Amino acid sequence: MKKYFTYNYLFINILSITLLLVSCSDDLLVEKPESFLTPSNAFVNADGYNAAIAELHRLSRGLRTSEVVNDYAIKNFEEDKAVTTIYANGTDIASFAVTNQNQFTDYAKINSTNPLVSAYWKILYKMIANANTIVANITVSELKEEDKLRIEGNARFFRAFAYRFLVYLYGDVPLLTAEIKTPKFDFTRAPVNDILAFMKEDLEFASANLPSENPGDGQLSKAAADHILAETLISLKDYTGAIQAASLVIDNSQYALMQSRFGSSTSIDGDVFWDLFRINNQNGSSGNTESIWVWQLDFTTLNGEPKNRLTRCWGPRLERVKDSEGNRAYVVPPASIDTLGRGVGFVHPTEYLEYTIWESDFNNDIRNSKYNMQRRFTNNNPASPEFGQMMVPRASDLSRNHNVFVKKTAAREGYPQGYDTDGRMYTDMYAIRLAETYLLRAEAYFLNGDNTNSTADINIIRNRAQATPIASSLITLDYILDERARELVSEEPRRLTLARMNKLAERVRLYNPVSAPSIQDFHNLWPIPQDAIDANLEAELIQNPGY
Amino acid sequence: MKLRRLLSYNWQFNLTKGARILKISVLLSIIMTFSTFANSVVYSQVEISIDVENTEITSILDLIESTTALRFFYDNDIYDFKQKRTLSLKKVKIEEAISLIFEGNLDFKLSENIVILKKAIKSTPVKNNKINTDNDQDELQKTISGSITDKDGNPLPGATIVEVGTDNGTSSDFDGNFSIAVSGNDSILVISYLGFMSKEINVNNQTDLSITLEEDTVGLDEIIIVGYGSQRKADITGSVVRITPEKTRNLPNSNVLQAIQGRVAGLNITSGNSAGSSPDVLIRGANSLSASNSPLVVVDDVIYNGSVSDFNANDIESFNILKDASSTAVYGARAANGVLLITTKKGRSGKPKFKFNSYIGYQSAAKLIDLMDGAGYEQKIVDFNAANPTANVTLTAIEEANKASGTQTNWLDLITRSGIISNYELNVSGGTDRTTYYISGSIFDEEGIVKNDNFKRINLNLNLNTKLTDWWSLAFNSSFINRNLSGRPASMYNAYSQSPYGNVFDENGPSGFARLPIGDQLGLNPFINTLVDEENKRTSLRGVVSSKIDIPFVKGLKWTMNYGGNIRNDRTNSFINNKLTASSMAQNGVAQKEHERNYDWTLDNILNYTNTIGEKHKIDVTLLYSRESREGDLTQARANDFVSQALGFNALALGAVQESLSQRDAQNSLSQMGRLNYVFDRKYAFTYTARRDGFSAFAENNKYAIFQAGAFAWTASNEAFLEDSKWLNYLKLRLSFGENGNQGINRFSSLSKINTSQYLFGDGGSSVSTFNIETLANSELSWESTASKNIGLDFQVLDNKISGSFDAYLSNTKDLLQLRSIPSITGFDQVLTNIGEVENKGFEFSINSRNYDNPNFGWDTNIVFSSSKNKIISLGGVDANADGIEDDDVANGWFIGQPIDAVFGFKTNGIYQLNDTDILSGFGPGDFRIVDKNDDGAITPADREILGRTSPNYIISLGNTLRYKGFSFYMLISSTQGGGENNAYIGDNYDTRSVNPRGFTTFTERFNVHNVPYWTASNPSNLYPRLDYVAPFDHPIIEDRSFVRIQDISLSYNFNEKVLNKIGFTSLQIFTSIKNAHTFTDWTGYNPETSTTVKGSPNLSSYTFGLNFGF
Repeated sequence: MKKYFTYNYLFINILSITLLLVSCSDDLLVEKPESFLTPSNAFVNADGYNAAIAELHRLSRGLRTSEVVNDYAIKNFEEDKAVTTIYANGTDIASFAVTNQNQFTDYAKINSTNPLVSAYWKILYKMIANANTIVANITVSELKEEDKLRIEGNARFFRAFAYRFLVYLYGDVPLLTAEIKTPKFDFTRAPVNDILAFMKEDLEFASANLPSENPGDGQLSKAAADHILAETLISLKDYTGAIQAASLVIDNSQYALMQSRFGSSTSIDGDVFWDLFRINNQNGSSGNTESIWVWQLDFTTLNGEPKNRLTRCWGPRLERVKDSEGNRAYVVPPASIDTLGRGVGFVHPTEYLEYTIWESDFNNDIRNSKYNMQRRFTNNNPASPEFGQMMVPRASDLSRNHNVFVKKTAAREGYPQGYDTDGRMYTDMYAIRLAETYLLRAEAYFLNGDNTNSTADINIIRNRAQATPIASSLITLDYILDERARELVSEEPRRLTLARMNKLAERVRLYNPVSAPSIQDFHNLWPIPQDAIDANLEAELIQNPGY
Repeated sequence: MKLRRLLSYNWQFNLTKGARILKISVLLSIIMTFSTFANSVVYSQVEISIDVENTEITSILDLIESTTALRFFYDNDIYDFKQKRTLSLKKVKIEEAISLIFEGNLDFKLSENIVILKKAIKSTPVKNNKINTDNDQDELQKTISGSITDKDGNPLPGATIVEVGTDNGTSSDFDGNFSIAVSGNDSILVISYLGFMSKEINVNNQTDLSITLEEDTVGLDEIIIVGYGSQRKADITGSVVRITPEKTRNLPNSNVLQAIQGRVAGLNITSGNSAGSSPDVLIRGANSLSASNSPLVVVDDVIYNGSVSDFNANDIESFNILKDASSTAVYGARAANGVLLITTKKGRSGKPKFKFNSYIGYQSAAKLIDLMDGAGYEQKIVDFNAANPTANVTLTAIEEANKASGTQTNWLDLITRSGIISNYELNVSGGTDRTTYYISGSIFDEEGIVKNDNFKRINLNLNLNTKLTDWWSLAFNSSFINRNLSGRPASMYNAYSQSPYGNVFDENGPSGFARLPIGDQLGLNPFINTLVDEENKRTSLRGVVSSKIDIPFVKGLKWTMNYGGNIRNDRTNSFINNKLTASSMAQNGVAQKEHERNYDWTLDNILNYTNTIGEKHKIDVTLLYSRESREGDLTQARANDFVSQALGFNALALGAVQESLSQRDAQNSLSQMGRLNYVFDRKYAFTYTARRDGFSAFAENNKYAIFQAGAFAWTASNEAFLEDSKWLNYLKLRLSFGENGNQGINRFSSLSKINTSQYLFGDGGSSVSTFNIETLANSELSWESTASKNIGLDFQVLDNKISGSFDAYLSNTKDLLQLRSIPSITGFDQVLTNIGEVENKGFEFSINSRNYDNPNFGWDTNIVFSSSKNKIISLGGVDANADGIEDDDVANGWFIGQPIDAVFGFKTNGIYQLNDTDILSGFGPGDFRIVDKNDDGAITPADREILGRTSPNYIISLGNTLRYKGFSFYMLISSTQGGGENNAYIGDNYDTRSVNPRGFTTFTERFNVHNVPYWTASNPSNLYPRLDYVAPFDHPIIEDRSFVRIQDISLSYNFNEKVLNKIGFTSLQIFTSIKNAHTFTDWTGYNPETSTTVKGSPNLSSYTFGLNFGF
């Protein structure tokens, strides 16, 4: 009996192995992702596409906050420097305060291994790849036609927006028009005009399909597409088209320059230009009719707070200024309550920005008022014998610690939590503001030989600023650049504007004594990143001349 | 199975002049194995019937074995077994049969079914191993009794005890006890046991002996675990090394791998440098570019995915390292980087044996970086201001005050310490003849050299083996491990950069520390880290159930089923309150709670068939069906903006901003394997292995792959022409070739992944999710395969005093799994793909020499050498410039014909000096002089070149063991020669805010730097650049990292067992040891081995004292 039992047992065991051997099923090895999405289950409804569009918003915001710079492996390059290099440093309006560092101060040190050059390239092509994926999928999706068009309009706007940066920063660049599903190693550079023409098509589509009414704070509208289209058409030398596109925005009754004080900070002394840059005053919902597209930031909102670095970068490093006895003349918040925040002085304005452009209307142009261009600072250290008096900088302070403070980059109210020791704040940032549309149309009129209309547009801007109107005989491209500096300093990517007009080297030589000795004409364009050249195994990406 | 073949070598060794003795030994495990087959019959009553004519005795014994369960053990020397007999026996008992076959000249002993043959001794005092008190006192003057154990106090049953110069001998019983009558006090006894080194004992006045045998690491009868089974070392065809941690037992090995560091050729283990850290392991160098290069770890026959640091070195019985393609083929694609098989200790039958092991000691930094003191710090400021006239850097008020009062702080000294390490372990083992157990528990406590770097590990193990029936045995091996890494160490990084004039303490600061020692935002006090409330606890529970069934109706067929489960829980929680860091202040407290759970299981069904056909054909077939499953879950919750800072991570709800993350993944493997082993006439052995692997992470149509390997071994010393060699005891030539896969990639690697982030629209609104396509799908992703050839030689010469092996190999890895850089124009930086071919060749040897071996003094030497070189053969065959030569892949740093770890970049040649007239554009005096390779007068990417490689040319280590009476001394010296690495000490110091950062920013002026004679106009250094140097190009500074290290030293004393026995102990040992005593190197950073520089942590040197005893 015992024997019977054991053999029986054994039989069952052997049977169970056999079953295991037979049950070798291929299903077992099929992968089913459970905690992440793939394109096949992400892009099935409008929500999925909306999320993809929202990512394009996030990436584009990163061009100014640099939040995404770290995501794109920018080695040894701080976000602060990334933003300031696109928006100010190494151009005619500013240079990096620490001269021994190659923050586009010494142009001889700029080469194709520069990490910033590589990081922007990656972010911009990431935007293009994401947009291409959306366009490729939406076209074959089963969404409602109106959703399809809106989503495609958004995606194509961002694609053009990314090419805009690429084409002005790098010149001829590879033109990607479709989704890439397998690695590719044989990219070649397409001529600037091909890129511009492609942008034109995208922007025209976006203009036709984005909502004509401003659909909501931070969202894209037809006006945003028309604005970038106007700029693109100028580059394509289609000045009439550019004027038409800009006019579509300017003539739209939804948009008008703000003429009187408004919004969150009217109880504090200031002026309308100052109001434009106070917290919560950028979105249309605040009554601001001047904003066309605004990058959104919000304190304590998940990923709504990459923080804008404007104070940090543009604010002079006042905490290093000493009184006559060697005490600190400025105590940073929270030890003190001050409106100046904690500047680190990465942007050192040129004399051109601090004084030259204001000379004609130094006292009447509100953009140069003490609210908007602060030149005097008060000793706020109670322990100092000079407490409450005006600071007297030493010569060495003038390089970084004590310079003109462009106050649109500072807002005490920008710190809802009271204070940020890093000097970062939470004010929304304009991506496109109507004032620039006027200046673009002025440029187009001028290039089209219509000085009268050009002057009229410029004077609309100057009138709001209470500056003396300019005579049409004085209008030049350089004057338009001066006006842009007055109106758009810290908002416009100055390097892009100068490169677009092929004016970078010329104006750096004129106005930026730090970089003037090293800049050469070829520096108008950035080098093609070395890592892009190296990885492109099957074709040569030809480097820009000079590098 | 012809068990007696195991013992049929002509084993001889000289003890005294002219004296020859026999050695009969039985390895316990073999007996155990056989016990499994034994029926509970009384073997002495087995009836034997044979009818032979003029047949050799060996064949007669074969015949008996084939018709009964009896198995014979004997030594060839004791009798001429080639003699022929004509016999006709009918149902006789074994006693009678032996007597008839050997004509009364041989005696025998029966242990279950094992028949041990030995020379008949006239007066036989060995009956039942009890001394016959009535024996003839004329011949035998004295009776000695004793016990034989291994080092751990486990009894060695069946050990042979022979009186030198006589035929007098006996063997130990089941409990390792014996007694023997000897001729007098001058007698010398030789104790031998298979797998152990023989020992000579001078009888003198002793009557009660307690003998401990040392394991013989070169024994040919060692059983080597080869994966899904085991083989005798002599029958092995592949490159396999077995090693026991015995020699390094007395070292403070916080990690089991340290116990075998420098002891196996081709096994490279680099040491960790913080409490509880796991070392890196490489077997025969790196083959793969992007897939894992770590070897597969198998514990008690089951694949183990946890951390090897989980184990206590004292619980390990042996390591078996599989190196070549043939031996690793049984694990197929899991084994591309070799296999590390770990066997934990099992119990042995007998009374409970207790063993207590302990040590306590301390460890300190082997080397610390020299930082600027106050004077140097000030000079640095002076020099910085001189170089940057507008900088105007001054000491802060705090610094001025400390300078005035003469207060200086060496922050590195302040945050480092002599950390205490201690280990306590108690194990008990024993059992009955059916069931054995091994139970152990240990507590390991380690303080790292940086304050608050602590590690504590608790291990509990239970290994149980039982025979359920005569044909079915079950084993259960399990362990519970708890590791506690809680608490953040003080920050080395902040300690480097902190001003020597900074304040350490401030009564208003967090826990009395000055948060910002000089008031500078970026200069956080290194102790702030220690104030973070951090919990990091990991538990692991592992269990392996193994069922072995000897299938009764097919002789030699065995079915083994192993089921192993491993569950690991990691908890990582932290709370940084709003008084500590800049971000925790801004975010008003930041907390995180993370729980990760991993669950793996493996089910192996193994069929094994062994048989010997005729006299000379031995076959061994193994078939495997295996299924492995792994799953992981991660849940992470984060919060900030805490309304109260009182509770921390256990009360996340108090945070206003909540964020959560969850992850879940699984992977599956399915494998079938077959292995055939064939040995002909003890001379020629063949192995063929084929394995089919299926793995879920590969693309849809590439889930399965088949790999095959073959090997051949020729035991030349068993050939007639060598058998009688005086000096050559053993010689074996091995050849193997085969192909293996590599599946060392992450789950879901072939899929396109979308990650999510957030954006928002409007003021005061809430976030919306965003989708970003993170990775490119690769629908072609498939197996990487390595074809390799190995030639090896094993030898033992000069009475087995010198033994060793040589191996040379050549492997070609194809379709490498590469995380390849692709043009970012695609929107992606990298894609995991199969491409190219890499060749790896190497040579390695190990030699063991027993220089002296006598009872009072012994000296062993062990040399291990390995060298490997790889080069890229192909990268997918692109030739864009049509020059007929395949193009290099610069973006990935891969160059045809160069090693995969080649360093590519700009070469530097000293420093530009003031008077230099050839300074290129963009450079100035005090800058590194980048070599203008193409002489075009400008530095461009075209000037980049290959600067060297990071992996060493060769690794060598030398171990010596000296034994004098109870003393034992062990020293291991290891050395790595060749290979270089970028050294931040003189190169990239960006992160350490030190001189000559290569980045775009520097805080040289705000922080301390390490003490190097940087370039100034008055100190025209040609090695270090100026203080404020900013490199226009990224350029590595390669430094040779060759070194020679006195790695291990230990001295131990074993107390006399005879004395110990009287007080109830079986063993008592005290020892002292030093780990990483000293490193000789030109490397200027911390540790050349791991190429740590100012960025990393120093290597640890430890000094311990320990005590082990058994009872």
